[in-house]
Amino acid sequence: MFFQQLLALCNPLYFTVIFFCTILGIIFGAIPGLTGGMAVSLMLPLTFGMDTGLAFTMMISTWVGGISGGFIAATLVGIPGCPSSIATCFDAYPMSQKGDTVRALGIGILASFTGTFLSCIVAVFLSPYIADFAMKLGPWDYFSLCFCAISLVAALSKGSIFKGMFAAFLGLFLSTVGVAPIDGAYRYTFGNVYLSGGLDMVALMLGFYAVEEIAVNFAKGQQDMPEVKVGSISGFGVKIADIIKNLGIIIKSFLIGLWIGFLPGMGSGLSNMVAYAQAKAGSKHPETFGKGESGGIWASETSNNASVGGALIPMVALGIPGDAVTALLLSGLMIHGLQPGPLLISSNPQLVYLMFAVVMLSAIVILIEQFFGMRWFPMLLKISYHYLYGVILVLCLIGAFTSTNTLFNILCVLVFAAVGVVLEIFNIPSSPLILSFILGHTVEEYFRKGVSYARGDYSRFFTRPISLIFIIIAVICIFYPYIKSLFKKKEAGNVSTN
Amino acid sequence: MNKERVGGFAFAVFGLLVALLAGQIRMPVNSNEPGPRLFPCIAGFGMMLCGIGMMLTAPKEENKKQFLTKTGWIKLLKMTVVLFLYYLGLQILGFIVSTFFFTIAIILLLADGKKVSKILAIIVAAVTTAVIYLVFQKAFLIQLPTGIVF
Repeated sequence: MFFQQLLALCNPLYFTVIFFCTILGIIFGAIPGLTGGMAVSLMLPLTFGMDTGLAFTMMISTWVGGISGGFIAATLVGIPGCPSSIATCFDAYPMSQKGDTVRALGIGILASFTGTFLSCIVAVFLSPYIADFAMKLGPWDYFSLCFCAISLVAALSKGSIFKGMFAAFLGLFLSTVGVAPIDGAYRYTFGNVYLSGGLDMVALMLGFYAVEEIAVNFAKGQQDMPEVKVGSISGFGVKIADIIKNLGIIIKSFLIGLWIGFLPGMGSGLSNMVAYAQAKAGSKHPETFGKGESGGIWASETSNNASVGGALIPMVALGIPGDAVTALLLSGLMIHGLQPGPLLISSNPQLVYLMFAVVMLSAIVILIEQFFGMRWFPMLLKISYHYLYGVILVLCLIGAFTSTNTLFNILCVLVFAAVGVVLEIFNIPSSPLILSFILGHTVEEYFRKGVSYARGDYSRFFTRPISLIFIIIAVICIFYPYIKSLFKKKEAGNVSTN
Repeated sequence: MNKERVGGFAFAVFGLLVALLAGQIRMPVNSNEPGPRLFPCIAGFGMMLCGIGMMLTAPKEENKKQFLTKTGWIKLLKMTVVLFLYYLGLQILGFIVSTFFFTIAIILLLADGKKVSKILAIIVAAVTTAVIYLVFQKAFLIQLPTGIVF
């Protein structure tokens, strides 16, 4: 099935779409302040009237391009193009400053390809098994799984646990607006007919990820880019010996990226930092890191791209997004009338394998595009921001309008952007909010179905082993910071008494 | 006043309000399941408890780093006004007129005092408006806002 879909992509229309969307993704990934996720959220409203396969080909190739393009600005100007390339700056920029720009870019290109391509192979083989396992889960287990996913994201977010949990509860509240599942009761609609269908996912994503980001960057005066100072760019710069020398780091970073991508809500933004830290800690010469060490670039870029395949696994097999972009893809599935979850693979195998095939083909196309287009990379960073951001803002608002065909949705985008600003002022993370907004309806439905099937018996959530395991993991995640600090205090007490 | 404490208090009040409003949701007669009020209540009380948690755990010494400078706030306000005017413009003037003028306005605003070619801004605005119109209205047959004036 996978190879059939891979062959289907050789159709000129699909191939052209992949070619141009990957370039668009690379541009969004390369320019600081813009991300591949933002490109996908802008693209989502465009795909409503399209064939589902073509729509997902567009969105996925843009996403892969976005993650792969992040290293460009990190290498050339020392500013990460997107959060997934923060750790790339540490070594790629110093290497570029030493006059090894081509080598730094070459490593970035190869590492991106390796991470995406291999993680997709793992996703192709692993997803059906996980979906088979998920088919055996009842509403109790599924509720606990979603609850565990939300708790994990809230607990592991940056800053205090209260802020992460607050964002998760706010997302849950926003998901309850509109008609309730099961009984159809109206909640928080205040007689407004536009609210009865619930808040629109596209408006939420555009508000949080595009409008808020552009507005705050503008207000902070962060839209100016330093001048790109690199010599002539030609050749590829990476030697086989370089790959062999860093093979251990590549494998370790790949596994880290895959695992972090698999965990709900944690994507490439975290994996590159963890992989970089691991590479540095495991190195015989950690002092060379941060000064243009090739291992640092391999670690960061392999891991952030490995998160692509990792994030696809829970999305396809469980209906739980691995990161913000897979959350958008999930909402895209719903908009196209498909039900995400373990049944997706058995009910729509063509679409699922098409998604994997698109990731794989995009990785190959990006490798070729970046290899031949390397000399034009500096030009990407010279695009005038005011024109680019201006056009993006128009696209955001019109995209929100076309999502529901109401001007009310534009107002929602502006309100969500304002909420995003408030959350940023108090350093409240937005990923738990997004995840719990997406999963809120499902969590509630499974919980209520579970209680109803058990004739009002709540204990079933704790007596079913799988459900209990997920609840225990969720509770540990929430209380882990307190348990850790308690142990630290105890240890400190022991040391002082000794 | 500590910013974190004020924020925590405001979030706690908001959570309480959400929980209180959940009481107005109509409950169906079904004893087997918790009904539509449970999750809004969980969300409301959860936000309230987290807000209180933020207040109690707020650091004693406030972070001196400002989120935005005074100029930054003014820029944010200008951006908000332009975006809101575009929303109103779409309602009154429709897509074509309001998008054309909004694009020029937002380009000039984002340029932030830098020299911008007015002709280029007009060309970008015209091309953006035309492309969006052709893609959505003609290719995807999505009716864009027509406004009440035209």
